[in-house]
Amino acid sequence: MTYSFFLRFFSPRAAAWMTAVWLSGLFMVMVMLASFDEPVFIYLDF
Amino acid sequence: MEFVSLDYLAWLILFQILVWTVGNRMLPWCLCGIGFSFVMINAPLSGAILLAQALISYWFTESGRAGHGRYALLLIVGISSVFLAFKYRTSTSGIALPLGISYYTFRLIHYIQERFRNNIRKHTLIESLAYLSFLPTLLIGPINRFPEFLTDVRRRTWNTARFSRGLERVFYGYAQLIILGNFVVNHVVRDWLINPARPDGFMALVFRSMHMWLDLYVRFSAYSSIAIGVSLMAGFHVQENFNYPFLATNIKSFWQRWHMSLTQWCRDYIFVPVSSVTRRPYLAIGLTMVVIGVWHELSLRYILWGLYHTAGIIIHGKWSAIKIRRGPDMGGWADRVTCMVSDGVSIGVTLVFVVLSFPITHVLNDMLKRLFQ
Repeated sequence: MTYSFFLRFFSPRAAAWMTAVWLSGLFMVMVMLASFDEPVFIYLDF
Repeated sequence: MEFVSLDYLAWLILFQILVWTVGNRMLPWCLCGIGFSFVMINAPLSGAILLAQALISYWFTESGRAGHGRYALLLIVGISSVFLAFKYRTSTSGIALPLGISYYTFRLIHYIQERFRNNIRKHTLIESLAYLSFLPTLLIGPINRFPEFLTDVRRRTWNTARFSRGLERVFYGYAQLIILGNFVVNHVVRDWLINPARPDGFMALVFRSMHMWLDLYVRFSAYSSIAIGVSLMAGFHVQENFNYPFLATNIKSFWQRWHMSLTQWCRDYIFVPVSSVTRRPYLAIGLTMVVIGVWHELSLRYILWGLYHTAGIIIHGKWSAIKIRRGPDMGGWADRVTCMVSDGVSIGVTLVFVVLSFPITHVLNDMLKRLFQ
């Protein structure tokens, strides 16, 4: 999905790099924010 | 169990390893084993309840009794009563529901109904148990269907592109859950919307409702993405659950885009039978929406919430039936602008209607309680 998206704008080699950078960046942000507690699923407090 | 936890991640990894280690012949045993092991380890009593329901349903349908409408109905009423009893106990005493029973009940009723209609190919007990205890969709759906599951379980082959697509879907699901759900919506947006400095009363309820709908959408669609992705990695196709519901231009369209597997289930097993038997579509819509409400919580306010949405759908139906005489086409860009403005207004009105559903039914519920006390 991501690679195909970047392939629309860049060469295959550049798209592969962009995909790697984007996914690893997103992963780092996820790791940084993973400490935030997950609320109990569907707490319909109404 | 938390989805952003090493425990759950370990289960998903174990699931992938096992389903690709065993051959197709042993696959149903493997799926069944890992699904029930998950429930039994985390909540043994829940596992026993689910297994008992599955065995009774299989025996009942296999013995040919499900071919008789009366017996099938009896079985469905029995299964629904067990679910409602647990739901009632949860509503009154706060004790948690048996693990996975919400979606399990829907899958079980779908299975019985389709066998009653003779729409399911011949299969074994293990295949039906594998379907009911399918780990990726066991806890939070989507409500996958048995015929598609049976095709996948029998004709599964390795496909690298599909595996990669699934893995990416899981990754984005987790990113959505952690970054958007847990951090943005539940810390940044929550602090802003549910601010102690804001006035109390009805507007406070509206802000709480806005936060809740946003939170529900972001996290629930993330869970669905994870479930769909994990299934795809294992070679199973599970239907989508959300299709940009907040861009719906009317309330009917909203319910066709929100939690689609549940609304399609309700359409197939509540709306269609009730409207074909009674010939009263409004009654069928009402019953469908009330069931969706009661499924969330067995209480008067969720019955009111179901009726509120029923009113919205009926009013929209009446409104659509009125033929508004259109003026002459203004041509090119003018038409496009008119269309965009009209869509924007429709989306706004639908959002306001949806967000107000909780505050209005909350106030109505309080009024009724005071009236009858």
